Amino acid sequence: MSSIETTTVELVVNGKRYKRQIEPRLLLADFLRHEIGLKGTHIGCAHGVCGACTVQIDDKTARSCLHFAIDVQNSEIKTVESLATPEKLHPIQQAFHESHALQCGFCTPGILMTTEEFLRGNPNPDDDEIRKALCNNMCRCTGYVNIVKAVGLAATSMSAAENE
Amino acid sequence: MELKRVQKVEAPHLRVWEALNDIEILKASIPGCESLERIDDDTLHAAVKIKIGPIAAKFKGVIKFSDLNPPNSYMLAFEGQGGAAGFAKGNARVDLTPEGPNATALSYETSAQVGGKIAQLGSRLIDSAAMKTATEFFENFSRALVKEPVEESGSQPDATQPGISESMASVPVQTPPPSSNRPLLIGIGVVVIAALVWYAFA
Amino acid sequence: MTTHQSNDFVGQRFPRREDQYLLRGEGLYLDDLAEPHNTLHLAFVLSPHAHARILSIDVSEALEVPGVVAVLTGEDFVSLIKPIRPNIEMPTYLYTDRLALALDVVRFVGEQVAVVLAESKYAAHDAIELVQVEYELMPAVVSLEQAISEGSPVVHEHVAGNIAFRGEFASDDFATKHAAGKYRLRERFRHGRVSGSAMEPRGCMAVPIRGEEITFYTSTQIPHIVRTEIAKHVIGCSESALRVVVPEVGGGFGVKAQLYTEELISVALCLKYRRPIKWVQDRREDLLTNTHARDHIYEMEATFDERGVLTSLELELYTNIGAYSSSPFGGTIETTGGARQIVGPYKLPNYAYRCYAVTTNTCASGVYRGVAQPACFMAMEGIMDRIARQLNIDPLEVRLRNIVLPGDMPWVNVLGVRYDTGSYQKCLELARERSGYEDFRRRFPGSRLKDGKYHGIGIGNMVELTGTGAPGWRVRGLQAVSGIDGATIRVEPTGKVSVFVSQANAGQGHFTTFAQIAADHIGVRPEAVTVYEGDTASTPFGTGTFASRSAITGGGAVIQAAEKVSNKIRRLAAHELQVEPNDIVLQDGRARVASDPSRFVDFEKLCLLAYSLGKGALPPTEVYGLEATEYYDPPVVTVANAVHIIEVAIDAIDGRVAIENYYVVHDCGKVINPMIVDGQIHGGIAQGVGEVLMEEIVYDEHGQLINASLLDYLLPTALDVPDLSTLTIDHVETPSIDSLGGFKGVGEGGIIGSVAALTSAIYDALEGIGANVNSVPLRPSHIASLIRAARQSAPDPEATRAKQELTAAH
Repeated sequence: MSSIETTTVELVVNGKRYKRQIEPRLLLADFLRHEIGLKGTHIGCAHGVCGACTVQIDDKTARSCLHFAIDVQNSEIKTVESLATPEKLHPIQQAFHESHALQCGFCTPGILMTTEEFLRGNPNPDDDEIRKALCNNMCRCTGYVNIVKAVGLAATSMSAAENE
Repeated sequence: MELKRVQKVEAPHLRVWEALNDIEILKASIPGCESLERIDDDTLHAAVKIKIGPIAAKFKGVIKFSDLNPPNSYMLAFEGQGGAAGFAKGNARVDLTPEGPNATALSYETSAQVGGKIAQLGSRLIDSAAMKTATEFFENFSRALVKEPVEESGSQPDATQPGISESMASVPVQTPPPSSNRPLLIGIGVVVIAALVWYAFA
Repeated sequence: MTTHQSNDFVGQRFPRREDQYLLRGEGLYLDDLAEPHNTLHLAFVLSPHAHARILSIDVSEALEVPGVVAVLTGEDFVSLIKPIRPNIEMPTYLYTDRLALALDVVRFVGEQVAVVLAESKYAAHDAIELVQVEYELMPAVVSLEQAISEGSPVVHEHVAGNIAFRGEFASDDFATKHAAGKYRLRERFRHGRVSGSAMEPRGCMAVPIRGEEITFYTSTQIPHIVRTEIAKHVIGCSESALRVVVPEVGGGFGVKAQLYTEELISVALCLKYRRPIKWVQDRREDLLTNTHARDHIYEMEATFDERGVLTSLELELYTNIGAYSSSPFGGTIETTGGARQIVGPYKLPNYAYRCYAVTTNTCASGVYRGVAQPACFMAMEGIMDRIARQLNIDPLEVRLRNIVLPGDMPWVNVLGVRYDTGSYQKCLELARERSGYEDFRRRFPGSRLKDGKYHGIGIGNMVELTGTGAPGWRVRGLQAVSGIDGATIRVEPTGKVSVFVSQANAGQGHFTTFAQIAADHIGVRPEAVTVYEGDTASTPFGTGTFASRSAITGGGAVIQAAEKVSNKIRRLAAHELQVEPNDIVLQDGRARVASDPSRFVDFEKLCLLAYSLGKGALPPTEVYGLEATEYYDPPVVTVANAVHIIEVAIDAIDGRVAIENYYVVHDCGKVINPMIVDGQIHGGIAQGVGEVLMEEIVYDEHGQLINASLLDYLLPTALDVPDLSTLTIDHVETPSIDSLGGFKGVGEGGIIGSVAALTSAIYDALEGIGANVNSVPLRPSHIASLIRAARQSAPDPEATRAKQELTAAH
């Protein structure tokens, strides 16, 4: 049986370095999910529209279904698994829980990554700004109402924590 | 999809015809063309490589001619298969009209049906992609017309004159015998199939 | 009669227990499940033609791809899987059997013709590109209008005129009564085709365990139905050796309440190759092959009196069911649904319908949130609005004059459907008062055009048939949809409670809500309860989660089982404490003497008796164990209700609709968790906005689906839904008297009300300029052309002036 061409890649994900032998065409999303077992990043459309696969590459949100793992070797990748500690949820996650901002949870990791980047740049947003920031993450369950609430709540709680 | 265009080629009528006779010119003009073969008098096979966005594939096309009315018009029916990427089929009518000594109006009217992945994912892009392809073809074709003057004229081409109208003027106009119309028609057919294959798989 | 111990938990805004792991990204959806090392991956070759004969399939090139183990076609499956025929018994219903893989004929774009098995998903997808299929095209019929016209091609030879089912009904002496109507109006309503589009596409994985045992993971809402249907269709599959497990499901909305060919194929190949078989679809396949919905025509003629009260209604309904009758609901579900549910909350004394399920060379239709109700209420509310216009009576007032009143309840409608309780009048009056409706009418007494926008206010006055029990499904001929649901409740040896429910959660929060119910009825805290669903090895038989049923049917089964278990706890405690069982109260995991609360015994101690652990002995009248399994068949239907009132502003030039104000008052009976109820309504509203303003599955005239991606099938984003400041939701609680627990369903109310109200609002905004809004979707280009056409034929002086001002401003 003829063999499949593979190459070695080294990726830094959530602060940890991984070295793997992969096909050059392996998508970043598939690398995260199947090579290193970080399954929180989900694939909703595989064509870059729904945002469920959103991760952060060098602190900027990106669609992991539109990147090849091999292309991001020199970058730092962050996924939803980087947010909480074993003991505690991240304030954004806590706000989502308190606001009932998730139902099936499939789109949630992508939305959390988008929210984290957004609040970093805009710690005190109004509802309009929040809706604009979220408009590239699709959710079919919640109707976005509680997600917008949760982002506002997270902003408040994170500012309060800052000021302590 | 319906496409109706008139393309003006800056070359005399017969020059255009004869250039279209040239399989090499055609192959070079059609974007992505890998092979072009005549199967019989009325049938041509073409293989064209196309890539639009994430979809890349080799498409094999068959063209069949009918309603020949040399040297003015003809019809063709085509079918192109791109495997999993999809398919296109349709027909076209082509008309040639001289527009003065140095120009020819090539008008074509086609209707096509597109199916498979290309249609499912790219319907929105098809019209503009078809236009772009046709434009690219004619750019290539016009450039090729400049470089390769017709051998029978016996006079030197003027390199600065894309239309080569002066050299043509010195060539006695001959009405090509019917049997040699087939390559011309095939050539025109390939132009059309190129545009249509691009349209289909763009 | 319920013997719940407390009201501590049902009715509370309990935060969800699911959130901890879902937020961390630890939820395991189908594609996240660990793949055994020798898993084979499937990929399918789809037909690019709407109707064609398969002449040949050449798999030789595909077999050369490294990692490919096999490529199979329809012929290979003839001996593996029986033709799929939904178990439907209705007079006039014609079967439209579907093969797991097409054999001779393909009937819609996307129908599967070959399957590749490979060591990796990427290899499988490489191989499908190389399978060469030769087709001979056949004429295709695509639209409803085409399919019912004279001389149309047929999808199945034995289904003449493409009519796979026809239903009819006429109330007593209808023709005479209809002819005698004083005022009359006719209208034709058209509802386009949509796709549920959950964020998680479908997938499944069949894993051999030992011998002939298979565990089948599938992203489904109906685990027991799928299990039984697989056992019936896959040759050599024994139901007792088949376990169906539902992982985390990323949204269902009814689209995953279907039996799909990939499920049958995965199990069949697992049996054949004795290897795990896995398949996950992408979004294009989702939009091509997951069941579609709606695509209806409502031809209506209504008569009414001078007060706007309906005296009769005649309906001719056509529904496009696609190329095959889907399983288990079949092609009849929307057809009978639209025709029968359209009566709504109105008294309508005389009614007749003819309804037709029409086949076309398109993807099969199935059940999607609302199931015909969004479409039929769009039509019925449209009739109400037109009655109001014709008689110059306020549209809300017309509805008030037609609704079933409190004094009439319980009400049996003209079709014989019983509405046990409802708050139609209260909700309409509350809506009128709280939605700004009267203020709107005051602000816009005449022309609706202001600041370059047409303003309108619309009403969606609806009932929702929820929690359908066995008789309800039998009436509709659906023999494979049981209607019952079951729950097993077990108090474990250490006093914790396990609850196994025959439902399958896809985001509705069952692990929280059923814990709340169980906790209240057994006398423990919800934290002491663990809820299990979606595993046929541990949960009792049931119907599954769809049609807004789980609170009622799952809730009812949990309550019944909890009653049995708590009765036994009380008996054991009474024996221990030497009192009568009815003197025992259960709370917080303790059985306390009501008349002397200082005396109590912990559940854990009673479990020692029940499980023969420790030193005590069971009373002689008791048997071991502390568990009960109960099945609940809810009443025929439980009827919830709501009113949606929406104010819109439509741009006069580009036709874009902005929602200025959105009011909902909703009654779903006894509320288990108000936070979850609101969430369901929010989600339904968003889908309704999508259905009316953005979503449409488009087939071209050859049957090619031309918008099979999310770039072209537009789902609402955060910018498209009403924002927080404009949305108000009020709740009324009128408990059901027929269903245990008093619950009514709420899963679909949001979308039903919003589709009706939004269409009504756009009609209201534009009717004054002569634009007749009677179809959805209403995309900006369509609305803009309606406005242009109306203005050209009868220019409205205000509009002309406004346009001149706008033009001058540019």
